[in-house]
Amino acid sequence: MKAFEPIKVHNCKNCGHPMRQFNPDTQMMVCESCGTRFGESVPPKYKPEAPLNPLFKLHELFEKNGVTWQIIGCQSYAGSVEEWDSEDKAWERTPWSFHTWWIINEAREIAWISQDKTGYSWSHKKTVTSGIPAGDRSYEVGSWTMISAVGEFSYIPREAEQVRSYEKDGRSLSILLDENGGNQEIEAFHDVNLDLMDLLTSFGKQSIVDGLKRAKVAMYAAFASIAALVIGFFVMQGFEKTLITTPTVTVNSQSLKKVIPLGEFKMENKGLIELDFLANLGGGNGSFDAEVVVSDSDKTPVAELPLSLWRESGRDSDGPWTESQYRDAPRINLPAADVYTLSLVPDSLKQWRSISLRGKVTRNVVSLLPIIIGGVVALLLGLFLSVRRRKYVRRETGVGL
Amino acid sequence: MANLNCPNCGGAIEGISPLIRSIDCPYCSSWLRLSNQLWEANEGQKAPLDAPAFLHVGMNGGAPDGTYYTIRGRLRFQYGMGSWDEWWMDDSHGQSFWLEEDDGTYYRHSLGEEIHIPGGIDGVSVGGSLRLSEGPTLFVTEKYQADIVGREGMLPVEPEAETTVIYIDGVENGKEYSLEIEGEYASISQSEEFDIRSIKWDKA
Repeated sequence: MKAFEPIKVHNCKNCGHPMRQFNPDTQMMVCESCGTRFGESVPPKYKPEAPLNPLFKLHELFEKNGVTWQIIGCQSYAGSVEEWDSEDKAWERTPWSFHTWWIINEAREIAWISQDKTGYSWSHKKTVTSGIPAGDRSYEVGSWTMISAVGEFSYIPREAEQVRSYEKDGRSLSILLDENGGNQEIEAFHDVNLDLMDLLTSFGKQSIVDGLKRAKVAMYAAFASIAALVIGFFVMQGFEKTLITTPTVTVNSQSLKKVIPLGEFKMENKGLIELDFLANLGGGNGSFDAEVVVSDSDKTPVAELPLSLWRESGRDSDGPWTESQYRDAPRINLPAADVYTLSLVPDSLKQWRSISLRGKVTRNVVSLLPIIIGGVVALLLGLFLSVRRRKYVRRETGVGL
Repeated sequence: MANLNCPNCGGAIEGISPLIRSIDCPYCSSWLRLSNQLWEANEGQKAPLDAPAFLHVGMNGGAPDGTYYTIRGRLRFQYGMGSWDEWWMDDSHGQSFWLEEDDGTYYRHSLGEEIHIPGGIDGVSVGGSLRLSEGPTLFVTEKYQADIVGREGMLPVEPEAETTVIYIDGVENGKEYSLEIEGEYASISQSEEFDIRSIKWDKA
């Protein structure tokens, strides 16, 4: 971008700093070096300064929609915003402040970039379309005092000038007040929020934008992987195969230590199986312990898996409680393809007279634990990237996302 | 369009529309005014402009709709808060109009109409309303006194040096109006935003 040629250069009467004038309509210049106003030779008691901004500074050029603009001045305002609180039925006042950066393009058009802690917006003058909406609860009402002005302006800002604003739906009515608090001038503006990425691009900070885009892609990838894991879990479940569903067996004290055959199943390859038993527990507290025995075609046991089902209840300071385990699903790896026999050997039955249970053997079973661990890791990674990205954006633009 | 030889230097001045009442001679800088249908050169009436602008007297430009514009003259006003320019322009449809430039935003004004304001404007304040019996009821957004501090080119007016005008800007139903006040009479014009960026200007 080619720098604009100043139309005039005035040397500050106090410090000699060359004050470059770019706007032909400029009425007031404030030396950015010492704060002295044009035409005066004594600096003010409190030196006005343009706010430190990581994105741009006074006289910086930028490009937006193919038009080159230059920052020529900055006014800072402090005050408060009042919003109608419909719950409390009262106006709620919030201390606030903002900066207005004056910008000019090659056609000498003036616009403004407004900056507050929430972001940047682009303002340009519009036709006033309504009267002063005093008392209208749909507006945000601002009361402002100018605390600093540096650069050049097409009007003569009074020190500590007072402004009242009414804002709604990106349109604002700004009323400059005179020394007596009366209305001096009314202007309307259209405000458009500026996308921080677009703003970074406008100021030629493409490498930062690229880095942020990469971080965004990584963040989305991390969050997307959570969805992928969940979808994958359900898809994998579709590959589960039930090898055998056992008949419902009833166990009582007579059945203890006796082998109850549950059936046979065939494994065409070695692999992991899940033995899922679901019980219809008897009434009240009780417990049932058994061994589930898997034998190969030679009748040799290849696995003996404990099965434990129980119910406990009681009363504590929070009142009555009940805990139970009516389902148990141990898993084993079977070493080879074979026809296996499944049997149940009850060890103990306490307090209950009987218990009935049924089960099924499933292979290609999907484990939920790695899905949960993977999901948590992906979530933490995504959140970490999001926080880092926000901090980075805040550092580079002065505002958060 | 008429042509004229400057009564002071004899230089040929072309393209003078019937609305023009004063001209800065481009050759000798005499201030020519129309008096009794005769152009007279006036001394001591110069108001040189020391305010560079994007537009210039003599610039020509074409808009996307095929309209061709020529800038004929310029008045510069100064008021308490700042200044603005008004450019006198012709277009290829034979129309002439004022183009107001304010902070780089441009407004095309309709030609003013004389109206009567009984009682004048002393009681009118910014933020209040001004009911015009022969026009709109305006929500007043500005009321200032301004001085003409510069002029150049061809103008449909004959401003004296250091002429002061009182003006009011106001709106009604989103339409902007400007009034130049003289006692109980005013010239009212409606203005609308003019997209100057869409015009391809010839390199002057």
